[in-house]
Amino acid sequence: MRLRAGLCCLAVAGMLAVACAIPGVGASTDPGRGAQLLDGVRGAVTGHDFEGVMVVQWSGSDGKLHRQTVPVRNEDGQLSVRGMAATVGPGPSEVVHGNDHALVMWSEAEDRAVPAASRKYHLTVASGPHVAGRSTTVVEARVGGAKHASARYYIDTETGLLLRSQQFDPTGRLVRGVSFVEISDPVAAAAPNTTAAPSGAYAARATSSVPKPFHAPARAGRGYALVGRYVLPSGTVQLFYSDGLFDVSVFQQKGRLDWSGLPRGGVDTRVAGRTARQYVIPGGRALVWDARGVVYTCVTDAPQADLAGFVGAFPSDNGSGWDHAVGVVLAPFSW
Amino acid sequence: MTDPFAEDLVSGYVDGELDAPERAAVEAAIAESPALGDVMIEVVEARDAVRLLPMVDLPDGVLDEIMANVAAADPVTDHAGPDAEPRPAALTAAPDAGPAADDLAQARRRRRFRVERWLAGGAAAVILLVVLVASPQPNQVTPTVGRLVDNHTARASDDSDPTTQLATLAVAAPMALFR
Repeated sequence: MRLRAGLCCLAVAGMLAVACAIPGVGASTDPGRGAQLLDGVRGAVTGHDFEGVMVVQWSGSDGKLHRQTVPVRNEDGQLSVRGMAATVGPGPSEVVHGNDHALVMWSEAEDRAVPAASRKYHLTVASGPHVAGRSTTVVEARVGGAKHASARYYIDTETGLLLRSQQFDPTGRLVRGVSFVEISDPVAAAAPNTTAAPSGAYAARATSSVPKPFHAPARAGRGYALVGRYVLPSGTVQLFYSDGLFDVSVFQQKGRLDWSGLPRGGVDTRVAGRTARQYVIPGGRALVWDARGVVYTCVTDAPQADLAGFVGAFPSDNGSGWDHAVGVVLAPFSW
Repeated sequence: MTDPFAEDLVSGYVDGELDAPERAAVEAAIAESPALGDVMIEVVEARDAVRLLPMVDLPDGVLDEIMANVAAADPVTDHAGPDAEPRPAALTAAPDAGPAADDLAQARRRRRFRVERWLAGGAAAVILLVVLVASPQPNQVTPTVGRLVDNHTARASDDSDPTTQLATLAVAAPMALFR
């Protein structure tokens, strides 16, 4: 009798352990908690100093999964990752140093109404595995009715830091992932230093409207809302969209696309009836095309399945015959 | 209202004519003053608009042809100056000068009408030519895709986890896209 009771206890304990280790088993479906955990990851970076090593994985245009390791350090509000650096303060200002330049984003008088991820995705929260030796909570995002998750986020239970993020295609295959493989014990950060913009930095200015002939639909594709509009010093307009998890920037410039001047490494593709040059990058993809006297560059980490609907929200050269005729006649006078 | 001196500097900044300290001063000023930021946008737009206008070269002989037409029309107009030679009597016939004078007057009117018609046609052709040639054609644009990816990443990391955003950018940096 005692032996049977012991075996029962052991079995229950084993089932509990398995339930905790597999995301989705014993998961909470409270969307508010999932959204809250995701909303907190940026603040966690602001509030902690740490250093470690991350592995970046991405599916390239060749279909293969690529992998690179980068060192990461966050100290006194300065986040640096192998030659890149960002000021991570409590405010929205950010500096990113590129290879030969730097830029500043700021949100002057900007109303940032980022849609809640739970409006599009079904969020579940579960206990996750250890990542880089730290216990995690997993937030899984799944579009309603989808067989597989769109993304999983492994969040440090103690600090709220995002330790691993994974993005999947509709078949459940990993297409993008960033994960700590080593991390020091995060310590509470001192007040971040105020860092002046470096020489050569340029600013993106928030604006409340965009001039013609640019186009700024308030919503695009499946659940993407216009969150920010900016004008770069070159006159390029940047529109920033979000669905709560993934982001899309659409840059617009007046003129016709000089295809021959584009950097190598891209592949021509058709998206929503448009011919575009696509570049696959570790953070997602960039698409370039033109229509009706405007050159569009779309940069996003959104799933491929979302792209057609999104791009389709912008004007094309393949509209109705009447639209096209009017466009052709009026194009020379569009300045 | 912005300082005209500052506007000159912004113009120089947009045209890449400033040295490093001046550039830094302009960037600091723009960061402080939204009005100066608007000036910068206006300067960029004005520069782009001017660049859209192609240089117009009229075809050889068009001006000569117009001048010839004007010169041809001159005898039937009243533009002759004090030094002009006296007109032939037949061309200034009195009302009672008889049928021959009427024929001459009618012929003069017909010729004048033909000349005016040619002139109007020529002028219309010149205007059409100028409109066609001078209409701005969309300029060729090559987006600096790598830099735009940087812009996107910077903006995206404002609302989400900056560590993963920056890590993917650091890995992408050596790619051809960013050179």
